[in-house]
Amino acid sequence: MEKKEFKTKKSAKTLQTAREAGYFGKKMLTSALEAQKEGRPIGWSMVTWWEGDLIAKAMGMELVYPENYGAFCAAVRRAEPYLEIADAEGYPNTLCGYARNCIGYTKTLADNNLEVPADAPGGGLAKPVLLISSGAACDARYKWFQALGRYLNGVPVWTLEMPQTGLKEFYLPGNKEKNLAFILEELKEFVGFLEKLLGNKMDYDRLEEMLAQTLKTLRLAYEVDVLRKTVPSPMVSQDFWSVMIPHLYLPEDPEAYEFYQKVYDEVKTKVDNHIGAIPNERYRMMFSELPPWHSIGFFDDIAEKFGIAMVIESWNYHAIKPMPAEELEGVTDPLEVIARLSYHKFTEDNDTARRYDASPGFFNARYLQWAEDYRADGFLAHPLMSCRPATYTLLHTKNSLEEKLKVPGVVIDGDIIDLRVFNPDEAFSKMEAFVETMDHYRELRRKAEMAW
Amino acid sequence: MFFAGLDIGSTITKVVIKNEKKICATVIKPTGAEHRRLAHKVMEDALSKAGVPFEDVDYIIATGYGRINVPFADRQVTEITCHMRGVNWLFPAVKTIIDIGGQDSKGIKVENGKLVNFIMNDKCAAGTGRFLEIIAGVLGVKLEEIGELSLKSTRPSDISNMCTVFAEQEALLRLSEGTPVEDILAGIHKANASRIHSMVKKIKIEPEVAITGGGAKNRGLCKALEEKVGFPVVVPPEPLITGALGAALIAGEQIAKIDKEELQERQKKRRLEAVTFFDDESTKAR
Repeated sequence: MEKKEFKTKKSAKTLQTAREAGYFGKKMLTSALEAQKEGRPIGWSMVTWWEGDLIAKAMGMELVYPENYGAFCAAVRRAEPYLEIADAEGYPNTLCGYARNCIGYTKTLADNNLEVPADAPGGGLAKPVLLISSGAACDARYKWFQALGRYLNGVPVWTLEMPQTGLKEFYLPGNKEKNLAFILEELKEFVGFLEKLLGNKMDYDRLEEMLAQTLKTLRLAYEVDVLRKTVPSPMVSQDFWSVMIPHLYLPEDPEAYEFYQKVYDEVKTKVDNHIGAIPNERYRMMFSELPPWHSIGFFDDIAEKFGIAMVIESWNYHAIKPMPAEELEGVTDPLEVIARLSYHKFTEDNDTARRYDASPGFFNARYLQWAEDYRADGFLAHPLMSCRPATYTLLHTKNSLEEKLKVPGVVIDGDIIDLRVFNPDEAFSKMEAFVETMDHYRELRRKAEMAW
Repeated sequence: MFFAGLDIGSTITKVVIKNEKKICATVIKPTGAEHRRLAHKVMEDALSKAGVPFEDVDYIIATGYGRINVPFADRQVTEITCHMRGVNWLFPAVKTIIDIGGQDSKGIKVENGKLVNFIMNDKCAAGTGRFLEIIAGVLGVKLEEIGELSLKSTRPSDISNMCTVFAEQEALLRLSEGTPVEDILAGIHKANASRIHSMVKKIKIEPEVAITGGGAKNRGLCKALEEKVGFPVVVPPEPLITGALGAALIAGEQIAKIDKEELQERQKKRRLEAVTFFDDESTKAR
């Protein structure tokens, strides 16, 4: 009898393009290291959903993303030493895994006179002149970059806010306009700050070009999502978590667009030929929210053993649905386009939320819509001790899916970075039992004459 | 026809041998450090008790934490499914199962013999048998006596820590303050019941409720849980064997799905022996 070996390494991925997507992660890191050699300014940015990064890039700043670097370090199993350094610095293990990985790395940078340590994973993050933080989606972000400033000799932190009003408030007369005006004002202040910091003026033509490219890339990434509704699923989460890098971090890069054309073509070919990402798709599941980057191979295991295809996942990482044409009609100021784009990310599901009588739109209602669109049999909730925003809605969403759509959920605890809190054996065992639950609910949906 | 279920738990190993009509034998033994090599010995005991030769057993299912260590099993099934099936056979009206095992506790929802929902505490010793074992040790009371003793309490202590190490300290502190042992134990049971209840509540507790696993043998814990749940709970006559029983029941169903020739072929190949994938010397308990 052979002992079951759980994969604790990277996923094999089913798309060729997904295997090639690592190029973009490396490109970001090496471009910043190159910029450092050439004396160009480098910024560390959180995912700002296009609020801050396009503006900084248009002003000639090279950006790297500590959140992406955290995922990278975890995936190559190099995060633990940084977590231990953060622990020793006194940061609690309930703090965001990305933040702890980044703080640990930054401490090594500071200890090395702000020269990137030679053994840093992927070449390391080059020393920044600015930290671009965001208040969107996550509360840990307010303090994380402030804490980094202490290791980086007072490098300035600029925090961009994102108004996130409740569902009812969203529909109050004038609410949207006020929110957009707030974001626009904030972006103008950010431009002014950057002009002072960098000593050059904003190149609005360059910004418009980048924005146009971004809209094209996001649309194409969205179209790939639409193709994924097909049964059997032509692409799974293991692929998405790789191919998302260019649209999330480099949407303004023409190379990202070219890459998405290749992704689209590959996925379309599979759809046209009825080729599933996994050979024997028996169950279609959704994943929420942030994945265990250190153990993506787990999803290969459950695909192989139970025929589970993770058909859609991680709302927060997806490209937005294209904005209605009227949304941009007559809008000529690129800063206003950015404001509308970012605001759309956090409000695009509000109509869905109203339809399902669910809230909030983000992190919750989207999964109800997806369950129908993607014919989901189950929902995998991955609560993170270290991330409240990606956790607080999970049980609520799980219950909503069960009650409203007869789609059951399973809870598997873990962490994005810290593999010490993920137990693959236990997780596998839960999935084994959950297969029966999905069978039961499938029967309930059939009796209720639901569409899937 | 005979079929068997083996539940290799973290602390106790259970075997049930069944035929189409009844349970022929049950065996309950400590798992111990050598469980990886001893599943076949426990199986031998059960076979001898049932008076059934190994060759006559048609299908064997292993479940529990150590299910991978049963090389003579035809199939492994998760303990969640097996507990559910076992309880459903004993108490068809039960809709919620609270299983308190040695190293985890679970809530399981069942509807017409189908697994509807489940939840597990698998990251922390609180709410598990191990927690109670440690506290019993600290208080110098035998594990099997803590339940009865706690029922004598008139003023249960407030135990605020659910981390095993800190609860142990808190129990010692109460002891040093002169709090009677039965009050400390009642407080411990209350705190554990609260913890288990809040976990199982996430999958909506519906009557009837059954408690299984080693924790179900503790009357003090069952009473505390009953109070939290708010209505009477049922406890199987032998709450330790529900997983093995469920495994044996599933084994019985499997036989119907396999043709005779394949069944005979399986029986021929099957050997009642220990697992072989270990490095024998380096993994032996010392």
